[in-house]
This record gives sequence, C-alpha cells and structure tokens, in this order.
Amino acid sequence: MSFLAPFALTLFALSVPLVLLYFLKVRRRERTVSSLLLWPTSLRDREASTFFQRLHRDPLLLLQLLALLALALALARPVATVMGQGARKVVVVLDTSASMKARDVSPSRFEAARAGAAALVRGLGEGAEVMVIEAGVQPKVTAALARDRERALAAIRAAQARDLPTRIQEAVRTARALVAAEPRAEIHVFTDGAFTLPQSPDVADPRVRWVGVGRHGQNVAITSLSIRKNYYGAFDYQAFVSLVNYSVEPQTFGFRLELDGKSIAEKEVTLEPSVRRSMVLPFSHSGGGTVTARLRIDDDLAVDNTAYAVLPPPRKIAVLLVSAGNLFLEKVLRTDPQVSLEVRTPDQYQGGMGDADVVVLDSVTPPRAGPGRFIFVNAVPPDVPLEVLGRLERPTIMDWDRAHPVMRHVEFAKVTIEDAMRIRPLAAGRSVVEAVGGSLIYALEEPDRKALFIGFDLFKTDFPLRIAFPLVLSNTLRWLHPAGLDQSSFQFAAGQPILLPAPHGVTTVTVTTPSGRAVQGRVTRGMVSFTETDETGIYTLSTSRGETRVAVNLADADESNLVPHPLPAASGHGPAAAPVPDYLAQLDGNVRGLKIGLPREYFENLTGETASLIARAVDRLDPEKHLPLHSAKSRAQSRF
Amino acid sequence: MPATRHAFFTSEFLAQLERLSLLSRRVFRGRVRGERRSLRRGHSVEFCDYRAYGVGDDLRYVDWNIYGRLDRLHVKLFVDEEDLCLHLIVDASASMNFGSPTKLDCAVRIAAALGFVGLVNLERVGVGVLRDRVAEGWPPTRGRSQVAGLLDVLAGVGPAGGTSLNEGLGNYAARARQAGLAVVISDLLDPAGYESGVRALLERRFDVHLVHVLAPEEMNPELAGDLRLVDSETGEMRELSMDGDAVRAYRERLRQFLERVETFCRTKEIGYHRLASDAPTEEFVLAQLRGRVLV
Repeated sequence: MSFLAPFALTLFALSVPLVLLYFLKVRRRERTVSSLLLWPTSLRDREASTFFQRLHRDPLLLLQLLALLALALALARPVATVMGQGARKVVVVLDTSASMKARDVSPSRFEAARAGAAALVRGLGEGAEVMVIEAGVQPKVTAALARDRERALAAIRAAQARDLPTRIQEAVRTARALVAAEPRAEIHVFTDGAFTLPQSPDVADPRVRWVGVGRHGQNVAITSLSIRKNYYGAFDYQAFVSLVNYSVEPQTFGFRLELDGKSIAEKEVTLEPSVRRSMVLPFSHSGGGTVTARLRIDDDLAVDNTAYAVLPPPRKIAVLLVSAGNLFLEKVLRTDPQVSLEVRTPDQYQGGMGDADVVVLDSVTPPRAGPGRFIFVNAVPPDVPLEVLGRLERPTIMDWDRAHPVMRHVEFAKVTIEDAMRIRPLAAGRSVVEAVGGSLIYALEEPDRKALFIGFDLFKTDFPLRIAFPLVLSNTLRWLHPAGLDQSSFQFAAGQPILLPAPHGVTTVTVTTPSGRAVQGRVTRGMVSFTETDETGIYTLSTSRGETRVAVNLADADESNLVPHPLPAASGHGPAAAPVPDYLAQLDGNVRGLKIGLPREYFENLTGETASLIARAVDRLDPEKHLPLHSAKSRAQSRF
Repeated sequence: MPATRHAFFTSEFLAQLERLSLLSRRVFRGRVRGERRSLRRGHSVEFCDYRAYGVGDDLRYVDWNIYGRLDRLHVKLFVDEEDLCLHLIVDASASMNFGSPTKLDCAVRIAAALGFVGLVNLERVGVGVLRDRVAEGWPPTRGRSQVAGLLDVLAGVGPAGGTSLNEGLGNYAARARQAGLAVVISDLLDPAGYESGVRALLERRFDVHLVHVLAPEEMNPELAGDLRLVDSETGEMRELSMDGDAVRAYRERLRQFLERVETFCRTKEIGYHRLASDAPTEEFVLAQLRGRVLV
C-alpha cells in the first residue's frame, strides 16, 4: 500500500496537542461540603494519575485519536494495488504466418482470427488483464498485460498477417513465460493449425486454448526457385523450380517464368493431389536482372504463387597481381571470365587494397599489407600473423582439408614441391594443406583480413602444371569474395535476416522493401544486415557504392500446406470445446407429439391427494386416454 | 441561629414539653432527692420491702400490724427517690453548619427541648459542646429557674473548627462527675470515627442516646459538574467530576456509613435516632423521642 498524498499523514501530529489538551487541568468550581468522609476518594481523577493509565482509562481520548488517525489516513489517499483474485489473465496469441492469409474462410483466416480475438477481448469482464502477442518470426508483444482493453483491441486491429513461416510454438512459449505459473491465466492461440505441433510442455499446458480458424486448403505453391549458373558458359543459367499441389483435387494451371517482365518460359502444368514436381529451365542472359516465377491459378493462398530470384549484374572481380613476372598466375587469372586483372611490379605496390577486390602478392614482401583480401604466394608481409621458422626441404604432403571451399574438387596428392617456408600461424585460421613439419597452404581469417597463404615458390613445384592450380585459384577468389559470384547469396527465405558483405567503405545502407517502404539497415563489421524480411519480393539495398537487390521468398512447404491439422483439444471449458445445445430455447414450445414415459410401478397403488393430482396431470397431457395407466389408477382408487 | 433565647420554641410546644419527663433505661445514683426512683431505700411514700428490726432503726417505720399478728418486729422499707443527670452533648464543629436550617440549629433546638424537659422535672442538666477536641459547656445544674440560663448557653453555641468526636466524648466522659443519661447530638462525620468516644461514655455507665442529624444535601447530594470539593473542617480538597458513578458511589458509602452506625448502636444498646436537619424539631421530639428518651 502506498499513499498519494503522504504529507497529509503529518496531520496525525495533531494528536500531540490533542493529548496535551486532554491533560490540561479541568477548571473546577470550588464547593465546600460538610465533610469529605462520604465522598469517594475520586473515581478516576486521583486513581489514574500516571500517563498511560490515563490513556488506557479514557476511551474518549482513544476514540478521538482514532478519529484523527482515520482522518489523516483518508487525506493521505492510500492506494493499494491488489491482484484481484478473480481477475482473468488472458493472453491472445495471433498467428501472423503466411498461411493465415488463406481465403478459405471469408474474407481470410487472419480476419477471422482477428474477429475472434476481438470478440474474446470485448467479452472479458472488468478487471481482466489482456496481453496480445503476434507470432511472427520473433514473438512480439504488441499490448502488454494490462486491464486496458481498448489498447488490446487496438493492437489486435493493427495486427497484420505477414509472409512468414509459422513460429507459433515460440509465441506460445513466450506467452507461457510471461504469465509464469499463474494458474488463472488463459492463453488463447488463434491459428489455422496448418502445421504439425510437436509434443512439448507448451502444447500440453492446460492453460493454452487453441482456436482454429482454417477449414480446408486448396493451394498450389512454388516451394523453391533457384537460379544457377552453368558450370561452363559465362551466360548460361538454369532455373530450378519446385511446384507442389496441396489440394485434394488435381490442379491444372499456367506456369510462367519471367526475366525482368519478359517471359522466358511458359507451361501448362497439371499436378495430382499432394504431388511435387521440380523443373529445370535453362536460359541465357547477360547482365543482371530479376527472375520471377508465377502460377496462374486462383487458389486460397496467393503469396506462394510467385517466387523471385535476382541475377546479380555481371560485375567482375578486380584482381591486382603484384609480381616480378609469373606466367602461371597471370595466365590463370586472365582466363577466368569474371576476373579483371591488373598486373603491377613490386616497386609499383606499397601495400593496401587500392580499388581491387583481391590482391595477389607473388614472392613480394611489401612493408605492410593492411586489411583486405589477399593471396600471399611465397611471401609473408610483416603485419601478417604468420611466423617464418625456416625452410622445409621436399615436404611430404600429409593431408588436405577437402571440406574447405578453397579445396573444392581439388586433388593434391601428386604435387611435388622442392622446398617451402616453414611457418607457424599466430592467429585464427585453418591449415588447408598439411605437410610433415608444417602447413603448406593456410587460410587466414582475421576480423578485417581474409587471406590465403601459399608457402612455396610456384617455380619450384609442379603445382602450376596440375589441374588443381586453376581450381584452387578460382575457388580462392570465390571464397575471398563470395557475394560477387554466387546467386544463392542473393536469395533469402522470409523471416531470415539479409546478411551481405558490405563494399569497402560503406557505413550506411537504405533498404527498400517490396511494398516501397524505405528502412535504414545496419552495417556492422563489414556486413549489411536487415532483419524485417516479412514480405516476399525484391528488396533493394542502396549504398553509396551502388545498389544491390535481393529476393525474399516464402519457400516454405509447411506454410504452403494450408490443410489444418487437428489442434490440441482444450481441456475443460475452452472455446474449442464442443458447442453446447441451447436447451433453454426449446422451453417455450408445445409438448404435442412428445413422448412422456411414466414407469407404471411408480404410480400404482397411490392414495389420496397424490393419486388424484397425478391422475389429473395424466388426463391433461393425454386427453385421448391412450394410457393403460389410467385404468390402473382408477382401479387403485376404487380399492380405497 | 436564633436571635434570642425565646425564639427557640413556641409556647404551645413548651406546654407540650412540660407534660413530658425523661426516661432512663438505667437507674442512676443521684446526688440529692429528686423525683426519680433510686437504688437506695429511702423515705418516699412508696413501699418497697420489709426487713427485721435492728437496734437503732427508727421506731416510726416498725409495722405494728405485723408485730401484733406475728409478735415480731419488722421495719417497712420505702423506695428512695433521687434526681437524674441529663448530659446534652452537642457537636458544634464546622460540618454542623450545613443544611437549612443548619444541622447545628436543629441540634441546639433538640438539646434545648430535652434540657427544658429535664429542668422542669427537677433533673440536673449539663451541656457539652464538642468543638476542636475539647468539650466545653455548662456544668450540670438543676432547677426550673435554670431554664433561661440553659437556653442562653445553647443560643451561644456557634459552629467553628473541626471535630474529634472520640477525644471530645472521651474528655467529657472523664470529666463528668456523675453519670446519667447522655444524649449525643452530632452528624458523626469525623474521619477518625466516633466509636471510642461513645465507648468511653458507656464505660462510665452513661445511658447513651445518639441523635444523628444529617442535612438533606448530605443524604441526597445535588452537585454536578467538575468540582473541587473542600472539606469544611480540615480544608482538604478533592477534585471530583460529578457524574452518575460519583453519586452512586457516594450513596453507597452513605448507606454503608449509616449501616455501620446503626449496627454499632444496636450492639452497644445505644438509642439511635436519625433526623434530617430540615425536619420539624417539635415533631421529632414529640413523636420520635417520646417513648424512647421522654415519657
């Protein structure tokens, strides 16, 4: 309990003058009597002379003090925050996943859920506390637990279904965590049930009541779209599309693949129920663009009828080769169609990256390499955390890391090397090729520097003559600078954060969502990140160094399958319980035609008033006298 | 306080008093011949007994009829008559100055009435005034001619000072030359009590009567409010809030007080008479005392 006006309590200090007043002597009239012999030795004035005796003896003073205390307390305006015993705590969990946009319930599942939630909140009595949680990718509390129903209703009205996969279980877990062990709490989950719930304490909690809004699902979905570059041919692509029919009937529909609005493939597809079909559609294209896959069908869920993919503009990797002259390196780098090569002599290079994406140092040791992406061939600049211990004569290759991206498709067994640097790494990284006595090729990964160290002279080995050499170089360039080359890095699932390496020197990024909203993204440690991918479509990331576009697709087979699974039955009296027939409504009807059973043995041998009353009731209900009971009754009566 | 001695009584009352005489439950030895039977055999007209003649007996008292019949000499004995000493002991302390008329007034009038009866019947009448421990007064005197003197003495009694009934009565008992009928007129309101004084009188074989005078305001106090009560004799003060409790307690104490007095008198064979100071004295004397003190 606290007080709104605690200063009023000082009023109680008046009790001090009150008590003092009380102890003031009464001015008494003097009266002479013949003798004091018969007068009592005083009833209280004399006996109760000490302070506390007096207080104790005087109920009047106590009453006055109590009245003063009550007055002071009342003026101090005490307030008590009481958890009402009977108050309900209701948590409304709204499923905002993509499947809630399905239109099998008019106007949509989400609208139905919202209406149900609003009705539930409006129907709550005074004092009930309501919380609203949107089950997005992250559960979001849009209205904290409070008695403010209007706020809860506003939160429900403001809720929107997103193009997101279902994370209902996390939301339920959040709700349970927020209401803790409160036994009177109710968690109402409004969802379509288009998912499979695992067995967990969240599902088994009796306080959770599941409210299903979905009925059936007639849906055909594109569950994946990816574009791959052909291994050969610089401009040849393959589109990989998966289509699934989640309906119970066969569906025939038109499929169309567009590139920047122009159709590049069109097909009539018929899918049997619950059948997945994957298609590979090759096409050629130079330069960037947007690939869109569309289904022309009117099904319950529109979001998964379109899928997007982005073809990055054919930007080449700028490679700076610092070398006194190395035919092998120059030849291999020039052959790669995605590399634009610049060659400098060692005296033209003072360290750093310049404008290049990757710098290759061939037996050149600049005073300082600095941050960036490097390939060090037979060279260790002083600021690179590698310690040179000496030389390795004819090192024997023991093993190589086949899982490392740099060693993809590479066979290193037969490579012979005359001699190599014997190094000891001083920072994090991975040994890619290991020989007896040390690492031959080492992948360095520092916060601001990524580099591959090749510890031997290319002229003292047969490595450049082997097929492994161009592969290692090609893999290394793509490992060092992945976003420039790989299509898959421009495609994200809805709800997944967009994470892209930021170009050198970029600090701010503006993200334009498919609906045209501009949001500031974050740049941390050389990566652009953006988390609110709750719409499908093309997101544009604008930086001072140009624009990058990425595609966000639902691409979630579970979400596209709209068929509601049975929800856990609410134990007790949840809203999901079976509807109770309204017996009261039938009370005013006519009894004509109703069968009324009277067990004969109960009414035989009745006497007196009871017998006559029952006979009258039977007569009234059965005027045609079908009842053999009647005769039995008259018989019984006649006996008495 | 009556202005003159003649204002005490009406002549009618005096005439009524003249027909009365004092009644003593005990027979006292008197000093001189009076009108009262004595323990001694004497020379009154009333025959009492015979006894055998002894040498020296007056031949006038020999019963010759008996001598003639029995041939023996017997002497007739007669009842002797002596006087009675009436002691009027009046409490004149300050506490007697209450009521209207005051208790002292009332006491003086009763004393005067009794003294008048005594003097008229040739008894000795003495007055003791109890005031501040000492008993002053008027020595026992007899003779009808002394009535005026008695009334003068009584008229001069004024209330003053405290009382110590025990000491005063003890004093009086010790100083009295002749025991007799003692009538103590007092309100008995003495914190030290009155019992030992009365006992002293009894020890001197006084026939004690107690006339207890109380003012109506003492029997039925009508005080109210917060008061400081002052004792008229000691000057002691007591603060008291007059409420139902206080009055009830007073009444209870008064009842116990009177009960104690009555019990005391009953056990000591003391005649106890109570009157309120505003009651008519004549009626009290003629009705209440008649048959007990007076005949």
